[in-house]
Amino acid sequence: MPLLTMNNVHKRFGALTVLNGINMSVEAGQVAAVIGPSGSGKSTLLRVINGLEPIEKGTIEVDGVSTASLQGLREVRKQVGMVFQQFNLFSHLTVGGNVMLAQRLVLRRDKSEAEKRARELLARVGLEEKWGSYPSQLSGGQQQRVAIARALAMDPRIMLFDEATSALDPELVGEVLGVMRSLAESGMTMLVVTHEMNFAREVADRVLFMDKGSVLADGTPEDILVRPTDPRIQQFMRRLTEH
Amino acid sequence: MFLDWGSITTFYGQLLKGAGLTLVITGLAFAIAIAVGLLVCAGRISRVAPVRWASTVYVEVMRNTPVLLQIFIIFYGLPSLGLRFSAVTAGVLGLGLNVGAYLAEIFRAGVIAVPKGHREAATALALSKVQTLIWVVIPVSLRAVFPALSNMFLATLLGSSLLSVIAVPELTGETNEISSRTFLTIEVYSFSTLIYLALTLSCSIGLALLARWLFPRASRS
Repeated sequence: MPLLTMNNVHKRFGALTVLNGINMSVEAGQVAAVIGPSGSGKSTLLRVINGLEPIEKGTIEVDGVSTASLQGLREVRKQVGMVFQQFNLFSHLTVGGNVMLAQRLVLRRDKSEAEKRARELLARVGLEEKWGSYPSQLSGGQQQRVAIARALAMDPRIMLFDEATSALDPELVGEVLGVMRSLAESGMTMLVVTHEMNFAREVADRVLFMDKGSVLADGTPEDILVRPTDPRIQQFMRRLTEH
Repeated sequence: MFLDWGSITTFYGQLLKGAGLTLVITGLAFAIAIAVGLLVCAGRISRVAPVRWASTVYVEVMRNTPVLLQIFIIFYGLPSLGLRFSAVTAGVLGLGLNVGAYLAEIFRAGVIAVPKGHREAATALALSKVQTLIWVVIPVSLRAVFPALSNMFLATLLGSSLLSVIAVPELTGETNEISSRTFLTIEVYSFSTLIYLALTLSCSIGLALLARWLFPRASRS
């Protein structure tokens, strides 16, 4: 059974249809990159999974739990980690506080257990020495790595990355992609909205191309990125290399 | 012209007692104001339209009419409806209800100041709405509005002198009483002014220290 299943998912913002009947699934351990032009619904595709945006029609299941009920949605949120374009660290908490908060409140871990897990994960993203720093004292790349550690601290089954490197200065992109790459290698299931085509090609098992709220193509990185057959994908890939 | 500063020493005790009552009244009124402010702020951002309207009416009426009249209504007006309060209670209530309207608006500004991304991150981490409010929204907005809250606290302290009009023996009330009894008008009013200054300045310093302790410099976004 797939870890994530979306069935006929529709989402509108007013008159604008953002997701137009999405059907797709992601197997455990898979790394799927989602690419496509801006406004094609990539971010929304991620945001409906943990209910940051409600859907009008269709069903979403994570590990067999449907997001239709409030209780199911809360369960799904525990299983789904999310990393945002703007990091969204809690500015009033230290790095350690950011990584411990949800462990304490949601998973009810005691302080020493939460701290142990937080320190492990910060070491994993190379930031153990930043434990007592506040987000404002960190670079964008460091903040994003803390955000990844914060999401991992919930021991999620699947991680969603919403353009995790788009807000970063070019020289900081590499350190975040490095963490994402090692996470992929460790077997984490990942759904990655990205404009980093090299990352998609090298790390993803699978690439989904979205256009106008639908998944236009779904295949290996080779099929989609290197030898696309669909003219819309060809045009998109041409534009990416044209500057 | 002869100023008799020496005689003031006789009234130290009475003036200090008045100053003490001023602080107590300020503290109680501000506590009521915080409770009222949180409630009305919640009303102002409620999804239920009539609750929103009622809260808006409350804020606008309280902020656009004299607080002294509001205190008169509570102290002189409500007894005819069978609600009788002591002068201190009526004064604390009037002041608290009035300041509460201002705090509601300050709190609302604070809630708006919390970046949307903070709430989304909390939601994505499976925090409940109440947990998000307590652990994210309130601390972040408190930091944003703390200077405004400090100002309102000082304004409340100074505003408490109005209660002398309904014969509350706070600092201004005691000063009036001494002045009319002894005719040491200039001396005793000047001295009271200094006491007010000492009270507000020490509160200012205390609040600034509290802010420094609550919000380490680097935690400001």
